Amino acid sequence: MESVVRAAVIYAGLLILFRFAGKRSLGQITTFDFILLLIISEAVQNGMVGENYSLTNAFILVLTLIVIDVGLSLLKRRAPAVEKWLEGVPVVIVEHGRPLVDRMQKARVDESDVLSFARRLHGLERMDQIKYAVLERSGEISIIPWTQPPGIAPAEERPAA
Amino acid sequence: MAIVRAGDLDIDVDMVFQRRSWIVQRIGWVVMALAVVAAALGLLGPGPLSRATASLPGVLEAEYQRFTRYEDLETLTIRVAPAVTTSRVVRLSVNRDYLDHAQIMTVTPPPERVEAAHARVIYVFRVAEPGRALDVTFNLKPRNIGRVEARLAVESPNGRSPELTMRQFAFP
Repeated sequence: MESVVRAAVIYAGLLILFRFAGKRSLGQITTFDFILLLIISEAVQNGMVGENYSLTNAFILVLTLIVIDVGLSLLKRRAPAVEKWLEGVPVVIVEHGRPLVDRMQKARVDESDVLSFARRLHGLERMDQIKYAVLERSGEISIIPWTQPPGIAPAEERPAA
Repeated sequence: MAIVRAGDLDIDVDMVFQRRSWIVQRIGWVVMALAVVAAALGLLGPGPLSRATASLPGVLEAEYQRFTRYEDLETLTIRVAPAVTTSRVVRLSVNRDYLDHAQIMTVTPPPERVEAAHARVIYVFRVAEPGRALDVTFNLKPRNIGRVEARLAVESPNGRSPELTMRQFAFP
């Protein structure tokens, strides 16, 4: 019984803490973030395992975590509100080459992050080559480039030939 | 999730929700920072604000932690006043409820013997120097979560002293 409670409390606690910490924390993982994650798992381990080193206990813990995870994923499909609270929603942070500064500040993302993703994903050079940038639920930034250089109407906006 | 058209994007954005969640997130940061400060000060377990003393003038004085943690070793230091160490033995009683809540790992100095009594356990110490204060240290491990009350008293053939009461809270 205790193992199930321990695993459930750890799952819930970490979920809440990481939601508070925000997307920014995990989207662009640096070497130090990676080390931090390892330390966090180390710190949590004792609280979860306690003084019980049996195989049964280990499997009960893993089982509980997986059951909660699958259960929540089912719940998320049925209740969109739950999904929003657990995973957040994507945010448009660049619109028609114009950075939406207020949103970027709140989401703790800056223009250099957007440009870095633009370079990596599409080989773009400048902000005005970006049509949309979206901070996704996962914390990654999706870049949608203009299909044509600005000035010329983008392809999808031209009447079909 | 509701897919909407934002500019040219089919996307499930929800700025009303997003702004609300940013507010909640900032409240969360404040709560997390306060929790760290509280833990550092000893409001979530042993620490400066958790340390407390209780005394029964002329009989007992105890130094203990108000906040302890489940299965985390804690120390309870008891000083028996010189006025009650006049004979060769000191009999220190601890209520049974407390011992059910906190497992005693070690007692320094070790008692000569331990006696069971009604709703309490009596630790009997042999005194080398009668008339001088005697320090006894209990190392304990809380086995339950929540509030607990320790009641200590000194017993002698003439009767029991009043009880010294300490309240503790064990965090999970």
